[in-house]
Amino acid sequence: MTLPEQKGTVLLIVEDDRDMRSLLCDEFWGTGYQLREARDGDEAFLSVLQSVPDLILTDLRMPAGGDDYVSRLRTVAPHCPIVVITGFGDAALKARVLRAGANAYFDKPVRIADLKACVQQLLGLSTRTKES
Amino acid sequence: MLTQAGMDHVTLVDWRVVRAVPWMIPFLTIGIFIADLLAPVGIAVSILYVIPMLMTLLLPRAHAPLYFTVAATILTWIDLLVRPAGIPIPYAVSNRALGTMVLWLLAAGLFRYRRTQQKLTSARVEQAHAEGLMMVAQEARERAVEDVAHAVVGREQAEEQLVVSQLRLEGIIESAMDAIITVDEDQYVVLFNRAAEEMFGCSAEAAIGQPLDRFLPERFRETHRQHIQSFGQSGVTTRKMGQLGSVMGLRSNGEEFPIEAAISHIAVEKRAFYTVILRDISERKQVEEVIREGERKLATLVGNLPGFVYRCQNNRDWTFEYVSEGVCELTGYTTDEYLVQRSTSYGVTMHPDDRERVWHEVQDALEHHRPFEMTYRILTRSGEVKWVWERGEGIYTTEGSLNYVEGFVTDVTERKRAEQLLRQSEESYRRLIAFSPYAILVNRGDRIVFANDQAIKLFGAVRANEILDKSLLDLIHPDHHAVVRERIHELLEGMQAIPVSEDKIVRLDGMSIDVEVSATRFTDEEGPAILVMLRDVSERKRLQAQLRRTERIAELGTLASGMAHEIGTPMNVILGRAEYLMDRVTEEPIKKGLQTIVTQVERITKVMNQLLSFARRKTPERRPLDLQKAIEESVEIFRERLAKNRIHVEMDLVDPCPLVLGDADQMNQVLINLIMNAVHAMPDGGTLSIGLAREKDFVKLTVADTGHGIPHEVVKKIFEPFFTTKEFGKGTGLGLTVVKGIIEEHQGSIAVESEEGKGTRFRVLLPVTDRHM
Repeated sequence: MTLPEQKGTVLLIVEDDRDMRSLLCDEFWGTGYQLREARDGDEAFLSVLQSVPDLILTDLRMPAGGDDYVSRLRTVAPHCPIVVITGFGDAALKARVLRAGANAYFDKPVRIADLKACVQQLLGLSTRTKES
Repeated sequence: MLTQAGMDHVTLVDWRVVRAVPWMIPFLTIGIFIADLLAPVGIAVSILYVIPMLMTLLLPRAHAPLYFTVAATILTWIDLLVRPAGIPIPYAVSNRALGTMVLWLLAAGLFRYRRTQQKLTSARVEQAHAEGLMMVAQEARERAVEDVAHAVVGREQAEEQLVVSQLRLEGIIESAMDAIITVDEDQYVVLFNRAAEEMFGCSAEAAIGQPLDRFLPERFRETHRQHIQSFGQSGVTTRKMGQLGSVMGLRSNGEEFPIEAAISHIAVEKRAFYTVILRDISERKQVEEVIREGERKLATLVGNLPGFVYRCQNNRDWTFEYVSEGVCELTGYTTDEYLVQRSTSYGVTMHPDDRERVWHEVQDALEHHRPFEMTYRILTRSGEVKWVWERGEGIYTTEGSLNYVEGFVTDVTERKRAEQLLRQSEESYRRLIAFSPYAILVNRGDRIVFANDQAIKLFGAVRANEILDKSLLDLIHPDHHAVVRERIHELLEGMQAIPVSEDKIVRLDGMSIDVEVSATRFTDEEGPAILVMLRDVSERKRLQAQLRRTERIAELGTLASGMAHEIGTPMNVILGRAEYLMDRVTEEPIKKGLQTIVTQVERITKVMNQLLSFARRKTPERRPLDLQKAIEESVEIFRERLAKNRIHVEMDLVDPCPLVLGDADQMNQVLINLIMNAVHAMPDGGTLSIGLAREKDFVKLTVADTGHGIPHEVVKKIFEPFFTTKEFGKGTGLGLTVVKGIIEEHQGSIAVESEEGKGTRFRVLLPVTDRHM
């Protein structure tokens, strides 16, 4: 599965759970994205401040995470697509997260295939936006 | 004898002549007097007086001729004086003198004859009498001879009679209740009977010959002696008891005692004896004393009575004939005003409003000869109203007619006031009990003797007598009998009250309900009793149960929510890794195993989502809803599935349907759950019936299937959380719990009936709202 046009595309994976982070990395490793990892909200912030990735894949319930985490993140990366994956959120949480600036929301457990499709779509969209 | 001589004389002449003579003599005399008056002078008519004179012989009196001659002489000479003048007087005088002389000679002769004859007659009578006496004497002599013969026998009889007579006399004297003592004139005792022996404590032998003084106390002796003497000289033979006044006697033991005495004196052979009859009146004195004491006591009692006694006439004034002093204190009017001045009457003292009633009650009692008893008001002199109680009765003559009314009246104003206060107090307690939210029972001797309105209602009775007289245990649920019996026992043993407890009672219709019971013991005149207070807590219990369930569900929600967050990531790791591996292995068995992992994680996810949707129910928004629309929408969602399962849908919806106040999403959730259950129950097809109808103030929604039904023992559990009969993976066990929670939140109810093999029917009742969309 090679996507040459995506070379150099940076994904920031923010996840406090090692296994989950590892799973996501494994899944997206072979897809040609450049992966960066962060173990909590603060690391994610530092990473984004260093260099804004092309897409942020993040958990919500983690140290320095929470409801307002997305809006804080949005202040430093106003245009970067943000995909939120969190455990059994309810409709209200989903609405809040999307309002705060997230581009997609997934309840855990998420099917990796769905996630990949969404990521691809978002990157394609942002790439097209960039191109245009 | 004179009569006898007269009779002899009369026999000589005819009795008729004798009866005529007394008349003829005056007639003849007057006739001769008239003839002499009319005849010429010279004719000696006066000589005719001889005829009547001879007739006087026939008269019984010997002096009769002499009296007649005097009369005839007078008449002859009156004739001469009355004759008219011109008559040769000398001749007339001589004529009359001659006549008179003849008359007098005849009269003298006749008189002498009569005297002689009388003497002769009395001599004859004397003789006859003497002869009579001689005959009597002879007869007597004969009888005497006979008597001599009887005498020998008769004397013995006479002596016996004498003895009997003496015995009788002695018996009387001896058995007399009174002491009889006879003394001679020197006052020495000659007779002393048994009563005297007892009275003075001295035997007759010892007493006889003793001076009477011995039986009198020293100080009375002299006076008494004089008394007896003066009595002897007074000539009075007896003196009755008590006339001597009371005297004291002296017993031989020195005791003095009062006596009453009667005395009589008789003379026998010129000697005077005095018999004294004595009566010991010490007992009578005592009795008199007792009577006097009794009267005094009665007077004191009557005086001390809190009221008065009376005797009155049976009239509307109740005119008193007697009334005790107490009347003054009660009425303010004195006895004098009632009895002497009669300025008022008891009829007037009575309260005007009670007079009629009292009159009728008394009349009724008198008519039936029974006592009367009543309470009424009087008006005292000062105008105060007092309540009195009276008891009285009619006093009747032996013939049965009413004499008067007697009775007793006392002041009961205080009591009346107390009664009134008591009544007021009772009334307020009665109200308390009547309006108490508690059902109140009084149990006495294993019998309910009182039940208030709440109790009647609680037990589903209409009238009190449906539960009165029943045993308390009859109304208690059998499961609680042992406990209740134990508590009753404890109460009767002396425990004052038992703490509030929860029991089950059985209503008259057989329904059992939960109640809160408290009981206390009390004792009154009729003995110990138990006061039981009950409160229906079934509603509270139901609400508590509902609350508990709600709380449990809320807890469950919190728990589920927290858990969901925690398991989300691990599940995601499992799922992700399985998928990851699946893409990189080629061996089919491994691929299959990984696929199982993926499926199971998906199942967990589904359960978790349901749990969360239950736990995170949003606050419902109530709006008037048309359930018909909701039903149609829900059925539409299942259209494809129903068709696939060959399920035929029947709808019986009332149109227009009354609105219910509810949350549209929740109602949809209810319908979807129920329809889904029905679909699951009919894997091989069947009929789904949905009904909507009005039932009083509710809308009734029914969802019925013709599926496999629910086993009897399971029906009760179907609303419990996590209970499911569905195949593993098909149901979460929360669907009906959610439905029930939603329905109850809407003040509705849900019930299920099911028969295995025939199908299941859910019946939902939701209150109708009068609000409109």
